[in-house]
Amino acid sequence: MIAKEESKTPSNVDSSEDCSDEFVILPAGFEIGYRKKGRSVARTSETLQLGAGHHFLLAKNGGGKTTLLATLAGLLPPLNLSPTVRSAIHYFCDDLSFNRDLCLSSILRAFLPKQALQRAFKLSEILEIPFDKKYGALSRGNKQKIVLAIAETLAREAEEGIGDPCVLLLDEPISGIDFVAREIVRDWWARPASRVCRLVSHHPDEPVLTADSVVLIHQRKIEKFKSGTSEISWATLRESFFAVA
Amino acid sequence: MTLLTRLYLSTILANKTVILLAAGLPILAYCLPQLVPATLKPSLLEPARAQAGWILLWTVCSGWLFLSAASTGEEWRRNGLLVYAFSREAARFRRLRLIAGSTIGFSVPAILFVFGTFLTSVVGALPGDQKEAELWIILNLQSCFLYLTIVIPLATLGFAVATRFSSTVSWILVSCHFGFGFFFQGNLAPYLVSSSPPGQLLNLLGPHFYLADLTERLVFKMGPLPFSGFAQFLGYFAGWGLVTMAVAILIFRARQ
Repeated sequence: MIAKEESKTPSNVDSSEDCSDEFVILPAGFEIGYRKKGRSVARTSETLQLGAGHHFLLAKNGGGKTTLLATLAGLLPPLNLSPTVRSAIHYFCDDLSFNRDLCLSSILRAFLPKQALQRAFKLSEILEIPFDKKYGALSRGNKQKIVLAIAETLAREAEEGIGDPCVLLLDEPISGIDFVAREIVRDWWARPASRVCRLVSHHPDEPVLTADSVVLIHQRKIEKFKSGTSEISWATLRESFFAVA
Repeated sequence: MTLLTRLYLSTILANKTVILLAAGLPILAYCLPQLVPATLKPSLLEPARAQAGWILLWTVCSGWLFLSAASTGEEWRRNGLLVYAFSREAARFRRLRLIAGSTIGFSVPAILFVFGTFLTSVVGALPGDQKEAELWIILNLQSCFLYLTIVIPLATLGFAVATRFSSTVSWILVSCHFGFGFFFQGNLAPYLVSSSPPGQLLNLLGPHFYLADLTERLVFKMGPLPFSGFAQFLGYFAGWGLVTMAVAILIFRARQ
């Protein structure tokens, strides 16, 4: 069952000492939106901390998922307080794509260090991404799988201490991929993590969400729910979603 | 090499245009003079090759290189690559680093083309006399440096403008800027603007890119620029390059 997480730190207090294991800290009162338009999208009412592991980011369409991810990635300035992100960020936006003439090998070589390539090719093979086709000839799902393979390679490199610890921000990465690949990716994400923090936004159409916590944006509030068990049932989450309202 | 550099190089290699141009430029420069009456007087053939090589190089720069930079800027902004690259950089000097990464990418084909032209000019038109040959090589090297000092910042500007507007707007803007400095300032400005004060000011402040075109010195075997003159030209174009790069950093936009 999921429960709304209680705030561990007081509002607007520098939490650098007592949150040393946390990768992402959103201070209480942290507000996301568009400064130029003067439009606020959502705000936190208490300090939210995301540690190593897998965290879902859920919201309705236009609810602020991408705005939050873009703010964490430094693409959008926060409206008031700054979030703390303690590791290297990799932000994979929902429509990340590549030149149609590139092949899988060129893309992986551009994104990853040499020592990670073998792993990336292996993960791509597991996801059944065609090696011989150019990017432009791949189906939408296969294009999406390339992004997942890159992100997972980075995560595993970090977990094994080869790469630096990292925060992976993934915007709807499994929309468009087939159910077999979804199962594989779900298993990847369920692996224990100590040096990687994944914040993954997507539509809550999964029957079971396996995650350490859920960040929910609803009615302009950003709140975090953590699971008592490792699996969060969407049905339960839905109840909570409406309970937040 | 940064992500953007690697991606740009992979892309231009994958679509093979750069290979075609790198191979085609020297071949065309070597062959084109054979098709014109220069063959009537064989002594004209060698300078004609050098002339053809450098004219083709300047044409390719305003055609392919600026267009490639502009289309890359627009494509990367649309497909989210700039967003990813932006998130990877440390907060300080993000734009500068991304612009630098893409500039290195554009430099590679520019250097490749200029090296091909240099080789054509040296191999296909080297004077027999040793002293003249040395001067010929120095003059060609001067042309190479001046070319690169002008073209690379302009390609970067094209890339940056395309990230904010579109590749078409970017290409037109950068090509007009280049054309203004290369053709208008050199050929027409002295006649058209010499009498009007605003015209004179425009002529003074505008880019004098035509000074980098040393084709005439090659054709008439006038020898290289004196060192002080070359250093002045190089300094002038480097200054223009810095201004252009600064504008590019200001215009650059990563977000879709």
